[in-house]
Amino acid sequence: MSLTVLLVEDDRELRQTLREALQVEGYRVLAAASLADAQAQLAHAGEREGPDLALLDLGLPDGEGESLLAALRRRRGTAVIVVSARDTEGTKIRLLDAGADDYLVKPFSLGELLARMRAALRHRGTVLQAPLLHYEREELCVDLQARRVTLAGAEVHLTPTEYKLLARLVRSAGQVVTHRQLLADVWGPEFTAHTHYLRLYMAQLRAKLEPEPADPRRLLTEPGVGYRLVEPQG
Amino acid sequence: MNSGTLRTSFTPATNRWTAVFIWALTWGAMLLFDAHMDLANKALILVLASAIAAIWSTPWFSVLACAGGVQAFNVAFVPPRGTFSVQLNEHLLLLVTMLATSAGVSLLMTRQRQLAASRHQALQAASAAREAAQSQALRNTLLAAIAHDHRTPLATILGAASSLHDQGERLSDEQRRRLAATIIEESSQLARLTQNMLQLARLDAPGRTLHLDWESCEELVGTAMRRIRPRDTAHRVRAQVEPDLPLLRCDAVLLGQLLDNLLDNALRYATGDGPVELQAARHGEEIVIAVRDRGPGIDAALRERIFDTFQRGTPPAGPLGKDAPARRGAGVGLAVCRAIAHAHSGDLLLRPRAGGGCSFELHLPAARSPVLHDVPAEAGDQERG
Repeated sequence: MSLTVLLVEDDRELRQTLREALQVEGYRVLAAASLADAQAQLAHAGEREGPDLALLDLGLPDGEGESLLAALRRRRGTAVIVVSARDTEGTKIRLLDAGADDYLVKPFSLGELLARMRAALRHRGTVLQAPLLHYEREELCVDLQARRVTLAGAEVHLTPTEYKLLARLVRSAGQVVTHRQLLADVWGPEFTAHTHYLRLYMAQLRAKLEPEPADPRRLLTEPGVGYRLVEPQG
Repeated sequence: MNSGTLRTSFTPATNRWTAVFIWALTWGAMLLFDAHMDLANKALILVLASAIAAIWSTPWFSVLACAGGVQAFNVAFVPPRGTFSVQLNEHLLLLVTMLATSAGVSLLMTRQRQLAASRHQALQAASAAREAAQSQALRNTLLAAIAHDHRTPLATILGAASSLHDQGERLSDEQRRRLAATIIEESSQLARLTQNMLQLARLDAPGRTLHLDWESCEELVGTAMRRIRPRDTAHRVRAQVEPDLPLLRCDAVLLGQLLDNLLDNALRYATGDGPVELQAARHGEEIVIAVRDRGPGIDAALRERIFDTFQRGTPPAGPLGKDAPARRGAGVGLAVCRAIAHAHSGDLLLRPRAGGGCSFELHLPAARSPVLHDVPAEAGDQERG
């Protein structure tokens, strides 16, 4: 049973290229060239057949994509990846905080796109894949149920806040989590402007979990947006 | 107020106080030397004063001042003193002379001022036209250079893509893969070029907005490392971040672009296997993030000009020169880097290194970061399940 992707992109060449590439990867693609087109396709598809994931281009001729985002989330919790040109951090962050799962910046490679799609689909906990409770990649192992973090077999001691921060990233492994989301989930909604907390605690996490904190391979920074823990293996 | 030397005309702006001062001076002199001057001389001085005062007066003011002056003269000096005796005949000549002189001078001055103003306007219009022509010329230069910088990667892409298209079946898998890789590489280069130019335009425009936030130097360096990794196949780039650096108040996306440009340049121009260091350290009141290479370096003559838009370094001479990459792309990159540095109230400097190579240093003021006072206590945080 293949997954359905709603592709909303107004540039014809790009839409065509992406649609074919996704089909080669086994996805079923519904292509739309505008918000109105996308809404029509959603209405037509009906409740059962709604897409599993939507690729939403921000530069659409007839709107900013927020209305579509809300509609998609209301349905079956469709995963949404926002696609944008650079320097639209404001819009990107707004949509991420409004419930989009991840973002991609044009121009992007197919490899990047597929990786983000996999992560977003996994996070949505579709019937095909259970939500993440155990993270493992290379030598880092995080067990959310046992609340244990090990690196190359040896247990790593994290303070309660450090653990909370790591756990939040693990729950969205492979996907970006915005500063606001992290601050709200770990410290509380009053702290959403205290980016400096994040800087301090992420530095502490990197010091404990990265062999080279200045060249991190696991705890990645998304400049201007948030943080991302690399996809788990397998 | 004066509009120039003696060569140009003497055209002071109207100034009531200067006129008043002259009148006051005149009256003071007349009163002071009352005994030594007869009435006729006093009258002449009055006429002279009216002419000189008119230089700084509007026509109406001169007329009023003259009328007032004559009456005052009448009262003060014409016998019987202290009385206002209206003897129109005697004073008519005086009054008319004064009025005519003073109004004449004043009208001449007004015309002079108008001429000066219109000449000034003409000069400004000429200067504005010159500026417009210059910026048009600059725009054309920029457009030409942009077209040039795009043409080479585009030519490569077109060549590789048309080869794939026309010869696809006759090529080996390896050849096809290599052509595709070339297309990807050149396209990425074009993307960087485009991004740099957009950024340059944005930073130059008035009312630009920086998205400032507290950022960690370690993260800025880490992100730059991650971004350059696909282009650093020989693992030449090494990061070094001083511990306990204060947080930087900056735009992470812009600084990321700056560092990426510097690292990309270092890898392209400092050919060979020499190391490229990305270092972040504190120097007194500044944070310095530097990209250092062991390449051929840049001539002293070019060192300052290299930041101008569209300057390119000379390719290395000598045996390495043959393998040196074609000059391209650095033209806009360094100009953007410096613009970004300036937008952060910092600077980007190029220093030669003892032992050869370049050191591009970004200097940023170290702001007082809020970290130490603000983080809530950790001990036994309420468990959030």
